[in-house]
Amino acid sequence: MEGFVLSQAATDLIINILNIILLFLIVRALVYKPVRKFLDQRAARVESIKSEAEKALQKAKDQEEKYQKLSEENTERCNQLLREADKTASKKAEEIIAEAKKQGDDYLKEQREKIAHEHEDMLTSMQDEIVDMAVGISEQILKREVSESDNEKIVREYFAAKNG
Amino acid sequence: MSTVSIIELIVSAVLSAVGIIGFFATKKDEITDKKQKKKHRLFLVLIIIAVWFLIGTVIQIFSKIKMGLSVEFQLFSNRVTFFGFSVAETTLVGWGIVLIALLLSLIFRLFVFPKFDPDHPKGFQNVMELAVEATQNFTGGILGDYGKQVAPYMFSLAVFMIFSAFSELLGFRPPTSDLTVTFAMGLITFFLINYYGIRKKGVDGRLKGMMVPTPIVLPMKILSDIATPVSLACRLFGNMLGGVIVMHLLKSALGGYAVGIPAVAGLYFNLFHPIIQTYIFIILSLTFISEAVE
Amino acid sequence: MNAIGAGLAMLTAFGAGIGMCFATAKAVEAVARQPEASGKINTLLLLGCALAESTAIYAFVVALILAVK
Repeated sequence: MEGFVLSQAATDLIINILNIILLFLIVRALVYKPVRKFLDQRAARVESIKSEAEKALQKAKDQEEKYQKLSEENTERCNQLLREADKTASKKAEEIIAEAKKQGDDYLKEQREKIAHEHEDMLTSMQDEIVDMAVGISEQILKREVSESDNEKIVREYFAAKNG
Repeated sequence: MSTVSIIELIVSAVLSAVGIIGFFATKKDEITDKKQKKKHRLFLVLIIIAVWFLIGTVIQIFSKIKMGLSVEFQLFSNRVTFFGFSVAETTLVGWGIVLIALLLSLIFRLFVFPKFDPDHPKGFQNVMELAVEATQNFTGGILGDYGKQVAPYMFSLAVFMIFSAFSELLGFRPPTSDLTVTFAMGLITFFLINYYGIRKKGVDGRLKGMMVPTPIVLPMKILSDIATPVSLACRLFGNMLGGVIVMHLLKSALGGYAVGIPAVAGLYFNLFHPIIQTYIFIILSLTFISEAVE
Repeated sequence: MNAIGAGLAMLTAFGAGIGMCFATAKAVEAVARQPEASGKINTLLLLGCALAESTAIYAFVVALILAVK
């Protein structure tokens, strides 16, 4: 083992340790950390963009849910309205039908009453006329007591006069 | 100049000339025949070998490098005087690495990082981000929460080891093939193991963790804990020194002809091997720390 | 004598080589059985090989200390 001196080797060892530590410090300060920082910044930026995008997605999802809910509500309300309208319409129709029926019945009743009344009136007026006629005829007959043919003639004349 | 080298020179020159003439002679023809194509390629190979041989011979003659399997090597690196102080050559190389790293990181910090595009990384920025992120994920995968704190140290350790592997290409002895440097790394790892172990569990908790089956194993566990930095240091040192010695042997064996072949071998011994050892050193350090933290 | 001692020390490489061979064989089997777990197996194999190799490396260091004067 030529060339080996313990003190020299020990100094070399210490110098080399310091050397490597110096290199480590240089590389860490000037190369490693800047690149690391660079990468971290980019990662943070990417992360922020990602989180923003996620937020936007969440917002869009919320909006969609809201709209879905709203549309569901609307459909529900619409259905209800339709049902109600149906109900009221049928109710009203029933009412109208009932009223119309009632009106028709009333009208029928009235008309019937009217007809009956007119019939009565007619009957009385006819009776009156018949009585008047009978009185008139009898007056004519009584006025000229003539033959049967004359009587007949008188009657005919009367009727002719009456008609004419 | 000996007669042998003159003969070598003549032979290699003739061979290269033949190769070049043959190459161009076959190239002029319309190459449709399969045999002709093969001939053409054969001449190309001949050119490469002959030119390599020629260059090797010229270097051999003029540089007086001796071929042979003898390699002069010292276990501890040479001492050089630096401003009146006697320091190891590898320590000097280590300082050079720190200086280069300082300059490079200052350039990065002052001129390259401000130009980085925060949203569209490209080119060099991608490389830096990938390196930092990969380190972070790697340490975090093994150590969990403490991984973030250890990550810059492991990053700088990887920088140091890869730079030192490249320093071998410039003809220096790489710092990682010096036992004092690897011991320094091992001691820092040892410090980290105990620091995180005590921070997580406290001193008595760490001692209790060592007495897991019975209290009798406590001395053995302490011994194995002390052996950890030694094992780490020796592993790295042996691996790197082995690579360096193999490269030296190859170069000395080839002598002046060591022109193209060591480059191919260097792909393994100067590039792949140090990277694998870096990976192993870091993963073992992390594993030991995570063992202490658990 | 030192050279002989260094050579003998390097006999340890037998054990390391055999151990690494077992580890690699098992890793190949595991990958063949479960190709999707190859990444994890690779990491473990590297770790195991490093640990198995360490005996050879210690022997190498010892041999160097013996051989390099």
